[in-house]
Amino acid sequence: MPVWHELTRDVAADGDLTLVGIVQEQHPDRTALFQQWREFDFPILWDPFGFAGLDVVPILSGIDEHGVVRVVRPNPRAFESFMAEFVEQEFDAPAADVEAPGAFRVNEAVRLEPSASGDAAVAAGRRSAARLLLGGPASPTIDADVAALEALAAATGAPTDRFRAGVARRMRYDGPSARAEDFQVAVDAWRGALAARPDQYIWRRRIQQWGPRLDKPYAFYDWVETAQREVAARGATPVQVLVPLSGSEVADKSRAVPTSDADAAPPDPTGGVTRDAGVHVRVETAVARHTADVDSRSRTPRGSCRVHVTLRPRAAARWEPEADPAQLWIELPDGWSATTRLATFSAPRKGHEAAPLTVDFGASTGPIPLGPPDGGTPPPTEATLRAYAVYSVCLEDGTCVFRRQDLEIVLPLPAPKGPGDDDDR
Amino acid sequence: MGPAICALLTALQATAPPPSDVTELQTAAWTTVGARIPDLELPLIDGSGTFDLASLRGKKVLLVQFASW
Repeated sequence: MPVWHELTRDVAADGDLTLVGIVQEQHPDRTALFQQWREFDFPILWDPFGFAGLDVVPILSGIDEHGVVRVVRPNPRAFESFMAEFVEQEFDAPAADVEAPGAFRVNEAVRLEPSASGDAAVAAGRRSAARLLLGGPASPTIDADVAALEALAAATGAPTDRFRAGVARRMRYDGPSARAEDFQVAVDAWRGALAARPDQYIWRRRIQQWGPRLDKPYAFYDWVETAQREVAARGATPVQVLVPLSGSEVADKSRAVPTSDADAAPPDPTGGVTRDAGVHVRVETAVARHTADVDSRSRTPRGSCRVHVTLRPRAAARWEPEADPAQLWIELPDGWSATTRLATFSAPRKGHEAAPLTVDFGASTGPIPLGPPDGGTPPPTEATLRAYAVYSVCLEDGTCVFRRQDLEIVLPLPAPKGPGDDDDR
Repeated sequence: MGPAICALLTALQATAPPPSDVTELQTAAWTTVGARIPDLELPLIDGSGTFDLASLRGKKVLLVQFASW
């Protein structure tokens, strides 16, 4: 994208070409920071539900003054040809009866009246997606909209509808109405959609964003820190990244494996810290598995996944900014490895002492057997990872307490696959 | 609800396409030379409003569908 922006700067300034972008990412603020950092001076549209219908990016289209595609995937190394064959060409208007191949107009969709339509679930789903596009994670109708999109997915079973239901769930998870299970339900919905359409790389990337390090073609958001620093150096205020980046979102498989902390000591070795039975802090977990095991194309370390743990203060509880950061101690089952045994949550941001804290880590066990098991006991279909979090939390009366909360994280395991096995799981 | 508001709502609903017209788009909608592009209106990423590709009629456009990653 930066290449085309630079190439077309002059012709765009002359008014002979207009650039427009569309992104499919879950979080628009991150792309807005990218736009600010790269100094993109053209509009960029937000399409997290995928109404444009793409299964891969980037896609570049040269569109004439009549709204007709004339050039596809132009080569920046042949920019002169692009100019001569597209920008400097005149094109005839299409026949009047040539219709657009489809439509989604957010300001029309948001006014759809489900009760008046022939397909109420479809109308409700479109209206709900439109309301979420316009209202975001803080939308006052988000519970009804998540329900409508999930009802549509259940009614049709269509992969696209399942994906969109996941987008809505993750959106709610990022806002004030978050429910403990939202993140996991989103990941599961995306996996279900991808299993039906494994060539949908935009859906695959959505899972990989929060998935294990070795499942990533590249780091997704490792540019954010540089962008914030360079925008600030220009004297501007960087666009705020509203949802803190998880470790998985900046991880890159080409980088060295994080240093093992096998010698780390548990923060509560005697188990003496008073338990918080979820009274002050709600613990939420989500597991994003390697996407290779949604189909049979490749084999992954068995159970390769990224585990996300969130601590969310309840009611009037607040983090104690001056206290040691919250920590997570991970008890690994036999045969498992993890990128860390002792994970440290990021410190609460000043002014956001009631905001959730998150941490994530990679975990995996041995490789998937290449064939079906040799009789006897079938391999387990899940493993349970035990962990506990310790944290300081302040209560409504100003008292601050140190608490521990135990948790169990169920890690689904892919079944062994035989060569040529192509079932969906 | 006053009659003016009722009339406005009726007018607004009349402009909305019926769901039976919903067609899920595919990549080919943007990569088929000679085809009209879909009618697409979406929010801008900075939250400043919405943008309708139809507003670009009369202009040569390079539409870039991409990701920041």
